[in-house]
Order: sequence, then C-alpha cells, then structure tokens
Amino acid sequence: MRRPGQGRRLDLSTVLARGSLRSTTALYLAPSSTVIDGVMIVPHLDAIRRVPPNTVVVLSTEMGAGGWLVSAALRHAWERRSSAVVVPESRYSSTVIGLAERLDITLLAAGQDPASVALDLAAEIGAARSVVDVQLANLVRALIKESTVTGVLRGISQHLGGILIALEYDGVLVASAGSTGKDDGQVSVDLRSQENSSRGMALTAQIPADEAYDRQFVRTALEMAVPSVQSAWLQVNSREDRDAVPSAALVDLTPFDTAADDKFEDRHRHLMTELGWHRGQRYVAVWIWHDPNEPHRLERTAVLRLLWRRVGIRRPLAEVEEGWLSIIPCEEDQRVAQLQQRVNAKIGRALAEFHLAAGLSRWQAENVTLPAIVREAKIAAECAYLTGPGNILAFGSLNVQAATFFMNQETIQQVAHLALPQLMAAPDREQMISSLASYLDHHSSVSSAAKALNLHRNTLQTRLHRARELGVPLDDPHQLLATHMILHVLNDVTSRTTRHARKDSP
Amino acid sequence: MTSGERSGVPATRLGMTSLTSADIAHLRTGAQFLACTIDPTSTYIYAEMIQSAMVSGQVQLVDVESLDPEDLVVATGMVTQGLFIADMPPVGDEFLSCISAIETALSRKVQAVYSLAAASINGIVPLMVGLQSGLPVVDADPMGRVFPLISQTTLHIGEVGISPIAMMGVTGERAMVEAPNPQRAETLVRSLVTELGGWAATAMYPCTAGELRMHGVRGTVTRMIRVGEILDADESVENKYRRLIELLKAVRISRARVQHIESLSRPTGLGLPAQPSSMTLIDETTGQIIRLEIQNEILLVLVDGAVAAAVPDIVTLLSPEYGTAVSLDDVGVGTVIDVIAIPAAEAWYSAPGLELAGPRAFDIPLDHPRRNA
Repeated sequence: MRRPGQGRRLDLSTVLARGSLRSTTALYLAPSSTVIDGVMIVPHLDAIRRVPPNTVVVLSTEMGAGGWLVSAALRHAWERRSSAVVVPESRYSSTVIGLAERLDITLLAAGQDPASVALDLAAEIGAARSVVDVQLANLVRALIKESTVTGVLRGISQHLGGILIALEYDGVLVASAGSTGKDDGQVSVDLRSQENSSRGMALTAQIPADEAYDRQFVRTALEMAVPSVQSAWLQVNSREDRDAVPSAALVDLTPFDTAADDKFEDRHRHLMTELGWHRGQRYVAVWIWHDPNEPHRLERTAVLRLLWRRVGIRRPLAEVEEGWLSIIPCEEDQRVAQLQQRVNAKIGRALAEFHLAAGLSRWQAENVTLPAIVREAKIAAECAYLTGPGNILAFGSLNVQAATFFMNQETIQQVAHLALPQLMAAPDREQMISSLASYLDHHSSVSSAAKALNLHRNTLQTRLHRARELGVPLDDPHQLLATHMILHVLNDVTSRTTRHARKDSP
Repeated sequence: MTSGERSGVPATRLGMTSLTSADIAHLRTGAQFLACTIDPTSTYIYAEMIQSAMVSGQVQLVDVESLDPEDLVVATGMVTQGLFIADMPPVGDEFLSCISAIETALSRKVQAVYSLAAASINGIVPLMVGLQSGLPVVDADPMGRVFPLISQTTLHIGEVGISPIAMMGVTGERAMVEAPNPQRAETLVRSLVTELGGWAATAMYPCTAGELRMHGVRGTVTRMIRVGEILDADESVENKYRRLIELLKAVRISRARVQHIESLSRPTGLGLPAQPSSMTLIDETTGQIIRLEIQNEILLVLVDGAVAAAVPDIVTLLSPEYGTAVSLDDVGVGTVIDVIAIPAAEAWYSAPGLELAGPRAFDIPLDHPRRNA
C-alpha cells in the first residue's frame, strides 16, 4: 500500500539508484535508511550550521579544496543529521571516507559540477512535493462534503491510510475515527479556542512506527483539516441548539410551585404540542450539573454534545441554566437503570475530568408532568455533584434522602460544637459519633446497631451511657431528629476526612 | 618559585639570575617542544655556541619587574624567508650591530634584550646576544609562543610600536625600517629579508621595560627551561606528562598513529611563510580520526571533524615511548605520537588577540572555540 505523503519524502537509496544522485559515486553509504527533505549547496563551513535535518549537503568546489574542510563539513553535517554529503570527486581522500564511515554518514562524490547535482536533486524534491500538494487538495475536497465531526475525522483517517484520528478536549477523547497500531507515535495540532479558553482542543493522529510515514505530511494534513473540523463542529452545535429548543423551553416553563404541576399541562397544552411533547408519553430527564460559579462556554456545550452521542440516545442536549438537559422517551422501568449504566460507562470519566455530574429522574408508571421529572433530574444531578464530580445518581435511588444532601454541613458542625461541647471535645469523639449514628439509624435498637458495628452489645451500651454523660439527648423525643441529623453529618465528615487521610498517606 | 631559586647559581642582583650551561640545554629542549614543527637544528647550534662561550662570560636573566620602568629594552630575533639559518650561520656581529643601530636611532642606550618569541631559535638567540653584549636578557617575550609573523605579538595588541626595526642580512648588509604599523612592517621586512639573502638578524619593538611588563608575556624563558628540565629528566614518561600538564595546563588530545601526510593541503594566504600541509592520525584505542593542519606550526586539530584545538592554542607532539619532544620532520606514516594542546597567553583569547592570531588569521575559516566563550 502506498503510504500517504510518500511522494513527498525522497528516500536516499531510491534517489541514488534511479534519481538525480545516480551519477554520483558512493564513497560511503550509511546502512540505515535515510530520507531527503531538502538540498543545500554549502559555500563555507558556517553555512552548514543552518542546514535543517534530512538535507543533502553539497559542498561547493571551493569548500572541497581543503581536506580538513571536508572533514569539518562531515562533522557539521553529521551533527545536523544531514542525509548525505556530496563532495567534488577529485578531492576526497581515504581518511575522509574513514571519517564518513566512523560518523556513519553517507558520502558521495560528484563527477560533474556539484551545483548541477544540487539543482537536479532540488528539481526532484520539488516534483515529489507537488504530488503531496495534489494529495492535500484531494483531502480538502473530500472534507468539504462532510457535515459532521465524525465524518470529517473519518475522511482524514481514510486519506491517511486508516490511521486513528482523534479529537481531544482537555485530554479527553471527544470523537475519533480509524484504528491504532502497537508502537504508534503521535502528531498533534491545536485547535484554537474561539473563547480563548485555557482548555486545549487538539486534533491528533497516531502514526505507525514506519519511516515511510511522513510526520510532516500528516501534520500538514491535520492543519488543513482544522477548518473543516471547526466548521462541522459549529454546524452540529447550531443544529443541536435548534433541536434542543423544546427541552430548553421546558426548563423556562417549569414552575417553582410543585402544586402548579397539575395545571401545567392544561395551561401550556397548545405550546407543549407545538414543542413536540406528547400527552400520555412517559419520559425520563437527564440533567448534567456543573459548577454554578463557572459560566457556560460554547465549546464545552459542543464537547458535551459530541460526548452525549456516545450514549447512543438520539435526543438533543439543551444548554440550560445550571447545566444541560435531555428529555428521553421511556416506556419501561428498566430503561432508567440501563440509561444510568450507559451514561456512566460512556461519559462517566469525561464528566469527572470536566468536574461535572449527572442526575436522572424516576420512571413512574402513572403519568407524571414534565416539570416534575425535570426537577427530579436536576435535584439528582446536584446531589451527584455534591457527592463528587463524575457521579451519576438516579432520583429513584434517593427519594426523600435527597433532602440530606442540601443540609449545610458547616452550620450543622457549628451547632454541634455549641450544643454538644462535651461530645465534640471527647478524645474518642469519632468512635462515639459512629456508634451513636448507627444506634439511631437502627431505630434505637442496641442489638441491631451492635451487629452493624460488629460490637458486643455491652460495649455499645457502655458507649451509650457515656454519650448520655457527655450530654447527648438520646432520650428526648423532641430533640431526637435534630440529634440524629447532627450525628449523621458529623459521621459523614469524619468518614470523608478518614478517607482523604488514607488516600494521602504514602 | 623565583628564577633565583630555579638556578643553582646565586643571583647577582635582585631579580637577576646567571644561567648555567644546564639551563641552556633545558631551554633548548623547551624551545623545541613549544615549536615542534620547526627544524630544531639551528636551535641546537645556538645552544652549543652559548654553552661554549659561557666559559668566558655569563648570561644574566632578569625579571622585567626588576628593571627600571623607563629602561629601553629591545626584542632580538631572526626573521627567515626560505633559507635555513644552519645552512649559512651568522658571523656573530649581526645582533650587536642591530642594537647599536636602534640606540643610534633612538639616542638611548638599550638596557636589556628580550626574545622575539618564546620558542624555537628565537627563544634562544637573545641569550647569545646577552652573552655578547653583556646586556641582561628579560624573562618575557611578546608572543608567549612562536608565531610566523612579526606583527603577531601581544605588544601589537597593546599598541606598542614595532619601529624602528634594525636588520642585518646574510652578507652583512643593513637596513632600518620605519613603518606606521606592524602589518606594514611585516610586508617591508619580508621583502627585505628576501633581498638580504634569506634571513636577517633583527632588533625590533624597542619599548620601555614598563611597556613590556604591561603588554608582554612574562616568565616565558623560565618556562622553556622548566619544560626542558621535565623532558630531559631521567624519569618515567607518565611522570613527565604529569609534571608537564601541571606546569602548562596542557591537555593530551590523543595518542594516535600517523596514517597519512599530505602537503599543499589547502590554498595558502599571501604573506604567510611556508606551505600548508596536513597529517591524519588514527587513535587506535578509540578509533577517532585526528587531523592536524600545519603551516609553520600546527594550526588546527580536528578529532572526528570537530575542533579540538586551534591557533592560538600551542599544539605540539610528544613521543609516548620516551616522553621527548617530537620534531615534525621525524614523523612518518606509522609513527605513534601524543598530540598535546597548551593554552596560549590569555591576551591571545581576547577579541583583538583572536583577530590577530586566531584561525581566520591563518586562512582557516573557523572561529576559535573560545571566541564566544
């Protein structure tokens, strides 16, 4: 198979066998294969310092006049990773050849004027480059027809011999096409963010460890494909913006007052029909929550929409205040669990990388209003965010427990310090809190709590006596709920601190 | 260590030392070591003459610091153009005549003489002049080594005038040159030397002891004697190397076998005496290819094409078997030699120094590695 960009890169052995260097005499041929990117006639030693790698260095007749100059030129050319050095035929000596062999750099003697050898080689390099220009023009022509990011990536990959082409945002793979090999190297081109974001978006190609692959050609191809990627990106995003209008509108129409839900559909029946929502159809809402202090950015919405496609749901993702929303028709209970698993598997890692979290509404047999499921998804998403970025929670798994996520832990800890000073000052505070929380979790059953804590009943009893001595109101029904709440929060904080300490320890 | 401590003979006055016959022998060896590319025959002849004449006289070596700063001092040396001095030796009165001409021209008495170069024959000639004239020889010179051109001096860098230059040729003809600068003096002197028969005894760079102290290279006669003491010593080669490296801050570039000698290896610039040649050696331990570019002296050393030393560095050759200086004339294909590089006087690595005596001054289109250091 002809490698893309192969026309551009001349191979020294080919040029020696059939090309413009066939008239030269090989004084020493380096065994390793060498490519040629350019040619330069060198009139004086200092000029070799400016020679780029993979250049054939042709010494002028004057340069070849001194044997030491050829030696120094060989050394300089070797340091510059030149492809070969061409010297006038009458000037070389065995020691110069010996040095070429020692440095392992190809040394050629030109029977004719070195300048004409250089000109012939330059013409050959130019011809090879024109082949590349045609290849690049074909690539651009093909990409113009593509209207999706994946289509553009597929087009690039096909033109580069099926190699993996990926679009990455902040190191997270957003979309890709083609396949990757074992020892691939990488060529990457940055896509400048339209919002000058510090986050980087890059188009990368995995190049096989094969010298026939011209990295420079691949880079040029990627650079030329950038406008097509950006164009497809914007097209897709604007299409999604349009498709997501009904979902976005739904958020704006969602009343704060849940009691108004019953009248919602009657009040907005006409509008809901216009927006494409069907009465009697059951839906599940997915809300992706982001840090409210971080404003929306066009590029992040576009990235999320590309990622959202991986979940395999052909429903648009609407950019809304405090996140993104998608409303998905759902007729079966199991579909919600499947959807949660799918979201987790396909974009869970990306959500964590971007410091986002997702929540899903419940599936309910009876007809539930759309505002209700939107609220459920939003609350679940916020709960998920509070438990840690990258988490995905279904409202069904929370129910009323969701309320506990919104308790202000800092204030509750302050209350604990004021109301339960002896407990908070106790040296065995952590042990006491976990024991008491478990005791109250188990409806004040000493047996159940001791079993859950893996303690003997008497041990727990002793701790309960001590708690009473420390002023914990375990026996006052009016204070029990608040006490339970405080212990719950303190227990959470303690567990989290212990977890972090373990994580940080070497 | 002072020169008084160096010699076994007691100092006659502060800063002044009488040299011994052994000192002269060591100086001869040192003078050859520091200019291995020049045929040492003339140096040896002069050394023998001095040693013979020392029976009836003494050579006084004086530190430039101990002279009155206003004392007139003058450089003496041979300038050659094609003729070996040994082929037609001087009669003996040439340098005295030159000094007398300088004294007449300047209406001042010369108080001391110094070497035009601190190696080869010009390193030893002033000793004979001192012996003949009774003038002390200053332990300093304007090159700190030997260069082929009389304009290549640290006095030139210090803008000390070269004129008047007194010359006396092979047949006793005399000339006096007044030139505006050392480069022009070089051209005139070279032309005159050809006309005078191939060599001329000269006295030039008449200056005060203060100027020589400020712009000359001091201690160079003593250095030649020290080098000779080391090389003439009956001890191991390794010991000699160790002492030499310590004395001269020298570096052994390579121990290598001569593989190829080539003359007329590159075009020569006008005004540079002697034809260029080159020598290629192989370091049999490392496989490195060593290339020496020679014209009067070893101008450039390439190791695998990279510059290892370049003029004004002093590059010389030693026999790894005996630890003695090797004359370039004795080197043939198959000879194993040690290539030694010695840093020149610091003034030579300044921008004007490198311009005057760096590689480009010898038509070597390279910058010295210390140019931008």
